[in-house]
Amino acid sequence: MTATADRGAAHAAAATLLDRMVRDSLRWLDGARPHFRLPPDVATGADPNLTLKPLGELAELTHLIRTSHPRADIRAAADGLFTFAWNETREGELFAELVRGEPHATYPLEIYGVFAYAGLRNTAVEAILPTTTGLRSWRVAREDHTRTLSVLDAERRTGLRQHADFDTVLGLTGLGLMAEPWALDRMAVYGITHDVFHLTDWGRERRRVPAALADYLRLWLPSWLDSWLEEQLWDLVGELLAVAACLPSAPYDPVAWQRLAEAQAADGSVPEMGAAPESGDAAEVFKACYHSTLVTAFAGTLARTGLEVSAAAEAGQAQAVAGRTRYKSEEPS
Amino acid sequence: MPLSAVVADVATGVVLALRGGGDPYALSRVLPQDDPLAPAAIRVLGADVLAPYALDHRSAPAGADDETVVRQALAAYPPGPDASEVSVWTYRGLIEASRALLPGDPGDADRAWPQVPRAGAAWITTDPWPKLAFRASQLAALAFPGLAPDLADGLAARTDDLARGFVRAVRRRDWLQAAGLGRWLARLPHVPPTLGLDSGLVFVQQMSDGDARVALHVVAARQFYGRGG
Amino acid sequence: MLKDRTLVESGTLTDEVESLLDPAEPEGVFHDTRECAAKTLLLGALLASPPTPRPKKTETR
Repeated sequence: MTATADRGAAHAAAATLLDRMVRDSLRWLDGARPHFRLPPDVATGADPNLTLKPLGELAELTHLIRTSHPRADIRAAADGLFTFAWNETREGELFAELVRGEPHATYPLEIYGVFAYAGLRNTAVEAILPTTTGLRSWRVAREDHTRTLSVLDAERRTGLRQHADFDTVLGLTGLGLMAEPWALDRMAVYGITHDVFHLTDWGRERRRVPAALADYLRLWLPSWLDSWLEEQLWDLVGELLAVAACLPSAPYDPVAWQRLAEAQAADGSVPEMGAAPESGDAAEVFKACYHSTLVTAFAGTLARTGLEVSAAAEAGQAQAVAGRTRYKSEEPS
Repeated sequence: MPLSAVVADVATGVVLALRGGGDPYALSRVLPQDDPLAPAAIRVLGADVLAPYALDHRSAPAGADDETVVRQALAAYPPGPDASEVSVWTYRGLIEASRALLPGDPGDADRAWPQVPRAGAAWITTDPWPKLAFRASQLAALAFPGLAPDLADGLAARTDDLARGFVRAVRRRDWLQAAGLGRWLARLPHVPPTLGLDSGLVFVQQMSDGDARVALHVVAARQFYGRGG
Repeated sequence: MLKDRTLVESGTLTDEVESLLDPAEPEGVFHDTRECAAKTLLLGALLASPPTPRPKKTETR
């Protein structure tokens, strides 16, 4: 076989693997709808980390999948989940309640921003947000600069004035500072993955990664992947694979993907860490798996759209294909 | 005393000499006297036992005692037919360093140094990066001026992979591996600046809490290649 | 006799030298920053701060 034929076969095998993983993840997530459903006390007593956070992640990541996956059946599955999430927020009504309950919290805006970005708006929310986000207090520096990038993204998506300069804040993060690659603990690496997601609009804009940062990530991702594969921290493995796919050259790591595939159970779930939970309690299983499973679907989608880019990069013509036009060519049906 | 403790003691003597404290270095003085473990310790530390002789001002000229004990080490622990690549390479390193830094006499059959054995080099290009890095770290005593130039050239082509190995080793808290890789990287050109090699070497030494072999790699990186602050 | 013993000893010493020259790679030791333990679940950094205790909504009183 010629080198080109080899590459073609490897490309096809990777696409098959990724599509299966994304499809299986979405199937499990679809079956987990009862656990994503928001309880009646969502705006008052319920723990937002167990209610709004899962739903927010579901919305963010299924929106990416429904708008960019090349396969129509996968887009349709993601679209169904995205619509489900919007309906759970009572078409945005919930966010107005959340803002009134916690006017200085950022998460109602951050989650609302996902829907606003997709063109789903709520007039009550739109009326109240300029007030709460226009305060000087909103501009007080937050403890976590990565989180500030998330708030800036949400402001942009919602059409609000951004309260700080994105690049300045990025410069204060682990990615912006190009922290020593050996000096990162787990949270610092999570931080860097999210710096990349915010910088690239969750992988939609690969070219936004400046060359120096792309080089930094290309160099050190293999070390980080090796480390967290060894620790079997599957959600971080998935996020790092997603980061690789966010790079202008979208390098594909077949070994790491194979390892993540082996961690995915037959029902499509991916455990947070180590082996699948043995608990028979469905709520426990959901808590242990929803995040990694979503990340797998997200990373698999980005890596899938990145295959063309990485193939082109290998063939030495990355410039011709890596642009956003090609990437956004697949629109939801 | 177990061999590993003797090795650590000798390494400490080398570190002190390389740092420039105390009396001028003499290998025979940092070895336990009349101890069968002395040649074994030399074989384990390899070329590093002669490192201070490469810094003129840190040592007296090597003497006949040193030559004798190194010869004993080379004679007692040659790599066997099933020896690992690491064993062969470190043996070569000790011979090369002896030729360069000990008296010897090529004209005198009794005082000539052994021929260097052939050592496999395919792994330098074919090993996946984590394995390559681990193996290179075991050969860190060869990261020594003028020694094993072909090995250094081969590794230079994989500088990024060694740097990835340094990151991996620190993550795993394998300080000896990290220090050995840091020492190679100190020798190689084009180390990625974002690695932070200088602070990395210092960090590794601090974290290892006084491990003499870690300290030896770190001080070698500084004295021979000016890295590590 | 002495010679035999020396041979045996130097046999084990040779093994010891080899094992110090080419030991197996140690198992990785992973300690993470402890304050992070509770935060590892958080992707999206959507809700990376702990839930704020919320007063009951006034209109329900």
